[in-house]
Amino acid sequence: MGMSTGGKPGSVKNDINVTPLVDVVLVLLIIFLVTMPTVMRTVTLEVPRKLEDFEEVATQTKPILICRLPSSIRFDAGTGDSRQIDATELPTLLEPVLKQRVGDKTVFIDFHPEVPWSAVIHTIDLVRSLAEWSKDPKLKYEGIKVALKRRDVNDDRGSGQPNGRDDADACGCRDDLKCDPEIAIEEP
Amino acid sequence: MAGRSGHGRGRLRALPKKPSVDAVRNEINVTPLVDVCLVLLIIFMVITPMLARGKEVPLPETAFHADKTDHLQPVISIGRKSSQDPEIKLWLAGNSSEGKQELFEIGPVYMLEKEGTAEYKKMADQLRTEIKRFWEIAENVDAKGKLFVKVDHEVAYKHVYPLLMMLNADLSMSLIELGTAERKQ
Repeated sequence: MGMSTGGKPGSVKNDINVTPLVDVVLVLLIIFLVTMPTVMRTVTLEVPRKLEDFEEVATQTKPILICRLPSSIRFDAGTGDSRQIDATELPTLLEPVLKQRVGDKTVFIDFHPEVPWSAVIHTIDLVRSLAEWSKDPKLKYEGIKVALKRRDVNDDRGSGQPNGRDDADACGCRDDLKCDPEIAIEEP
Repeated sequence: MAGRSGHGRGRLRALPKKPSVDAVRNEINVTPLVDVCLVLLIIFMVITPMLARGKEVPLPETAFHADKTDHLQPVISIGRKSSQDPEIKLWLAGNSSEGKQELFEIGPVYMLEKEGTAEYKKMADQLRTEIKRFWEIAENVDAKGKLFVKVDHEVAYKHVYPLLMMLNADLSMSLIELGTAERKQ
């Protein structure tokens, strides 16, 4: 500040050269701006919801059920009847059903035990792709909830009726392979 | 030789007489450049290990995921130690009170598959206590009660289902965030 010695102009400048400091600080700032909000890519899965809870919340509509099998999908559009479809057909079949639904747009999913995790996430991603029509950005991707269907404890060893109307067995995926007879799964 | 060097010195001495040469140095000043590069290097060295949260596993790819900011919640990873390793293991990572990451290998996932056994109880207890500890010491309020689950895309569903059930039953978690990777078009 008052340190100016009043030496010959052009000999030695008596100020701190701030340029390198500013350089460093700017770079620091940019790096932190870029890295601080580390983004985590997530799909949220509601785990698990009992089908009974669903019926309490919503009206008398039946839940939409998707059961991913190793090579196909068993799909119940809320009618109580499930049918086997190809994974690529799912969006076209599911979209009209979801659009009709008012209120709770929850899709219940269940998986065959041998389905790889990539297929699990892919199924959730397929369902979520349908939420794109939602204009509300907050609802985008979150507008449709994906919930894991709870299995009953005593159901694990398979009541074995693929077409059972019982909600706990609507998917028919309990008993290994029974619901997908044409596919032989190799044990790893 | 001696004559040539003497001649050179004489030329150098002659230079200051020209004021224009003295005022402008004919070199790039590399000091700020080196400063910036060093700082960059140090920052990347510090940040890179912090960015990897939890045990790295190959994640499934999605196109319709939500991009959420990292709340430094505990991370559970399920996968193999190496691609040849037949055993699928479970890891838990969280941030300690000093902000450093702690990574534990909790154990093989099959231990969680037999509910009611001593193995199940041991693993579930360890997992529960560690997660609760991480939630307690978490500085970020948003980290409390949250988990981030990363599963290797090749792992069969039956190995993950017991964990999801355990988290739901023991920690009463109803929303679980599953980690994915961006699908490259």
